[in-house]
Amino acid sequence: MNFNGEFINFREALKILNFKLRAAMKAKAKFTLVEVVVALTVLGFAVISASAMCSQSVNRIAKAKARWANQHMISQAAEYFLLAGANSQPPSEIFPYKNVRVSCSVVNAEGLPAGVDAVSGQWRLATYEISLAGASGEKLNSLKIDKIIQVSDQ
Amino acid sequence: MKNNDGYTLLEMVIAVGIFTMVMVIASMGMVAIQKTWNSIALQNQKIRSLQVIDSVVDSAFRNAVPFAWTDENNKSRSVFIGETDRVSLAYRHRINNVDEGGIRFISLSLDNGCLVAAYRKTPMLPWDGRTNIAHAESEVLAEKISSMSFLYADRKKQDISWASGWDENSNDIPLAIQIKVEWMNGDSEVWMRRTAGAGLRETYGVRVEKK
Repeated sequence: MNFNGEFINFREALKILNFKLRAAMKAKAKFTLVEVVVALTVLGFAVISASAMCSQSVNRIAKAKARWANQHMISQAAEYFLLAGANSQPPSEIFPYKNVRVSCSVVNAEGLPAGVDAVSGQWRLATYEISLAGASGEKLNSLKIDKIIQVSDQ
Repeated sequence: MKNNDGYTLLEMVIAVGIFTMVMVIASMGMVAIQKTWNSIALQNQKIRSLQVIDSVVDSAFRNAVPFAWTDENNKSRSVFIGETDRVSLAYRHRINNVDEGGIRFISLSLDNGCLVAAYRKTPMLPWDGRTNIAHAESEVLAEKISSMSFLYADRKKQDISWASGWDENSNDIPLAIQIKVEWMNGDSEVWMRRTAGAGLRETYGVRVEKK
């Protein structure tokens, strides 16, 4: 049906449509090659930027997770050493992490004021030095905790 | 357009072909970005869950203290519940206002695949059974969890022993509590915290050593 409400065939309808399309295109200026290239470049930049942002986000999430895991493992180990002593080794049910090793050594506390002795009777102010190492021995994290222990708890 | 008769079939085919190629490439890019975005959202949610559990065990387990209440038989009993899949305890809490007090009660359990923490200002009494978390404020700490289990530490002579349950008749609380959470995707994580500042030579109050 045309705009006057009369029925027309398909061929005539296409001609009308084509005529209107050409009229519309003539009314506007055509795109130049430079415009098309600029538009495609902007589109390309947008896609590359979105893709780069996603990639950066993935990397940041992975780093955040690794940092959390690192801190969590050494906290878990520290809790165990403070509970069971520096000479103990956390069992696999408490420290179930593969490819990492944790160790604890007891050293003299540092930074005490002059004239203050770290040992008093059977008690001693010491420092637990807790280290987390990877499978090949590389140091991943470390923690120092001052603690009053018995002299015999070496 | 060489003439006024419209586009030729060849022009149409080429135009549609180019349009299809552009759309396919754009769709592939969009799908890839969508997948990456979903992955980021999942990882982000997982890290948030880990941090929330971190925060709860740090505040609740580390500050757990023995707390007793009188039961139906007028006997003073500990309110600590230590089961394989559930823990309920009293812990010291920052005083936000006078009505709340300095002790808060928490219960951690698994409910429909969610790790749920229920908080109350009044004791959750073991002899009230599972209904003891009524009127508690609940918070979902993590979702899509397949199982959760607890271990409780006690000292026998000089050795630390771990058990999957805690004697309900004991007036002490464990020296340390460990929670193990397993997610439906196969991931798992453990959190162990000493209670009430317990250590190699330190305990909160005098403990009765078990045989």
